[in-house]
Amino acid sequence: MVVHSFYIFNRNCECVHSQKWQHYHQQPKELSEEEEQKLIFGVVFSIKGLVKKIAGEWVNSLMIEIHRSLSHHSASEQFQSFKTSRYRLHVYESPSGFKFVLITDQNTTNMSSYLQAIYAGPFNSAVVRNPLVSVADGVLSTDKLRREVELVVRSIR
Amino acid sequence: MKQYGEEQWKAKPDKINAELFVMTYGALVMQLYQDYEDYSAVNNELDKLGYNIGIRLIEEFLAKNGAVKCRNFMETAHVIALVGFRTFLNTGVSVGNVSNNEYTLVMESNPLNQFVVLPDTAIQQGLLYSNVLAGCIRGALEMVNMHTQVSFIEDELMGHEHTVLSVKLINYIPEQVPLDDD
Repeated sequence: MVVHSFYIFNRNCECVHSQKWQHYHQQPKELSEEEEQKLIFGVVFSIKGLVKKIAGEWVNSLMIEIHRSLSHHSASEQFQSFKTSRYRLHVYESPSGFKFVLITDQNTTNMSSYLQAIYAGPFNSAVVRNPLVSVADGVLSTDKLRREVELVVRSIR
Repeated sequence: MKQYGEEQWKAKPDKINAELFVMTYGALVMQLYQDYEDYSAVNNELDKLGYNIGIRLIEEFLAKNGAVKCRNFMETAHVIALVGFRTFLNTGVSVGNVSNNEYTLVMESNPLNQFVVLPDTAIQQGLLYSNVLAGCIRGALEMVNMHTQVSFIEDELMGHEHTVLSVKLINYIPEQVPLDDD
């Protein structure tokens, strides 16, 4: 499996961390880094809204039933990934509104447990418990976060 | 839920000595009073401190307790009382008066109060010694999209029997929508 890139968005819709892997070859394109991040957020946001609208309350209540019976395993996010012919985009959203986005090749399925591990591990230790990083605003990425995310991603392969 | 909270406390690897923690907190409150020389300003500062702790603490809490789900404000009561307080302070808290959009948390023993006797002036002028807890709950709930007001109703140090915190929902914060840039 191949991981292309990884992003974290905060509750204010800003990209607070992004990371790309070297083999990530792209054709030259007109998009700047910033625009790309905005578009990714937009896609995730819209699909989430769409899923909610289509599913409505019925699925919500169904989801809660599932949680109760399988309380150790979180299947909470109704929208976890989408696939195109070239890549798959995975999303995990923490209840506090941080969105973790991972783009991999299209054959990889179910990365949400890894994204959750990134939230619980590297994100917590390198960002939340780091007094030098202000969680409320701006860019959160630190070298430590980058390294630890790298470790988690390596463990996937 | 209660048992779950206790397990979480046991599973937590990084604990610190309770006396050290309590003494450090005491020293902090003393220092704040020496700096501000005004009890209500100290209350404010403690609330702010707590808020900043809360907005970070919630991430750790959520990361470890992914299985615990709250669908609305009222459901946070038991989670805060039985899991939150147990994991972070190892103290038992029960949920008191539950009414529409408001509940109280009753602490039979507040670990921060250990060894503490407030001088008369502090009691008269209403020092909320443990106000950091109120700020902390407020901060944590704000991060999961609930605007709340948390205040002390009773405090053991003021001569009441228990420490009672009231948590009141002001409103749910709607999810932020990305700005349209064209």
